[in-house]
Amino acid sequence: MVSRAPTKTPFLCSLRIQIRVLSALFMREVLTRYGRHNIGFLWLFFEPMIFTLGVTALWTATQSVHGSDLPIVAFALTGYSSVLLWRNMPGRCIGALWANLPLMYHRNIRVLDIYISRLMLEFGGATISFTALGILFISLGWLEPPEDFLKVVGGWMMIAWFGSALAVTLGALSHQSELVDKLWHPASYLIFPLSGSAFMVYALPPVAQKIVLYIPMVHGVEMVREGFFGERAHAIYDLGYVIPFCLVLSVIALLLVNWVGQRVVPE
Amino acid sequence: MQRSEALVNILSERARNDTITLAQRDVDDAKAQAQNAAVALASYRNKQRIIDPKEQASAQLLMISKLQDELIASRTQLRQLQTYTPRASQIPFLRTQVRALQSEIDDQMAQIAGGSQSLAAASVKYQELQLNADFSNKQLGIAMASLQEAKDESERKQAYVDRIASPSLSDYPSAPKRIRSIFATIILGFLVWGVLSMLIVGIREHRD
Repeated sequence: MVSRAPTKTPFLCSLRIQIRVLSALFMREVLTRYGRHNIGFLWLFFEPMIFTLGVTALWTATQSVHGSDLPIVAFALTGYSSVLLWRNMPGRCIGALWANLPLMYHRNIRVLDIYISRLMLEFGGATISFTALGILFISLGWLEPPEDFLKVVGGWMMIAWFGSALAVTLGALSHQSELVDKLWHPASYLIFPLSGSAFMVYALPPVAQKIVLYIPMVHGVEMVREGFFGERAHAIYDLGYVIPFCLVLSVIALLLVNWVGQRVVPE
Repeated sequence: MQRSEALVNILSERARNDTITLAQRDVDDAKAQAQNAAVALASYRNKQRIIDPKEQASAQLLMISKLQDELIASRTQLRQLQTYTPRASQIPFLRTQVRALQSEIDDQMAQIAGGSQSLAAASVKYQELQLNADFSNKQLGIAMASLQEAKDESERKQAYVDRIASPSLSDYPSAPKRIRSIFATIILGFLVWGVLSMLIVGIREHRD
């Protein structure tokens, strides 16, 4: 692609360039996705907010059984927000490269950059929606302020990390096989009830607990809930399992990105 | 373990001592009160020269009734003599006797009731002191009983700590699992290195 011999660029310069590329891609994503009509990029967090509000209303109306004495509003907020976080990331990254193939002409836009910009967008949207709804519910008195804010952040970041690694993996695979796109939608709907957003691990029978704890999102959701409710949540999670899991997934994701990057053909 | 037993017992000892001291103080108070009451009663007896106003009064009343019997007998005799033998030589003698008996009765009556030195006046104060002494004695009895109870109770509170199963040396160490930990660290290190190096390579791909 590059005709002249690559000159050695200092690391900090490269980093600066990447940040510039990422911010440009980010703005581009925002504009191409939401445009400038009506509320524009505010849809970024309005969309998940409406989702969460709807689910909260539904669960409140049906008095959904979740196996604990936690208030249903708080339960739905923490549960559904985290679902949005890990489910939308792969959803956005699958096929992201096909949509952005013309951009690959630019030397400084790498495959990973495209994924990262989309992940940033999803992460920002889900986080702003979670925070905004949390503040709204707290000010309405439907929700107690979190008992341990840092634990909430930690759990949230765990979910985000897992979601990102999964998204990049699936995104890279989807560039090679359309099957991924087709399979992801049913898979995501199947994983959703198992992801810990609709139940507390504590309320399950021990056999089911063992199986459910192999699903990495469960740990993150449990951690967020423990941060929110403290002892009352009876959260069960094991960082010693999730962190290595996410590390392995990250390595796989990055290897796949490299592999895809070598055979990507700009249109 | 011996030290924990000692600690438990020191703690219970303190609690025990506290209860016993409190009960003992109650007993001491009651004792002092009873003593005071007894002393007051005794000194009053000494001052008034009486032992028991009731007994003394009954004795004196007995004497008065005897004197009155005699007085009635003498008066009857005097009246008989005056009626049948007005010139009998015994009449003046009997008159003196009647007068003497009358005055003696009046005297004795005055000692029992009426006047500041009478037994009736003394008996009021005496009864008050007597009541006080009785009351103090009863209180002392109650305090003594509760002290005894506290002592019994504290005796029962002694706690014993004993070793049920003695610690044993394990046959083989189950932790730390050195080899396992080393492998885990190496693999985790590789994973972290892989992620970081690939990210850095990714950043380095951006060139001017």
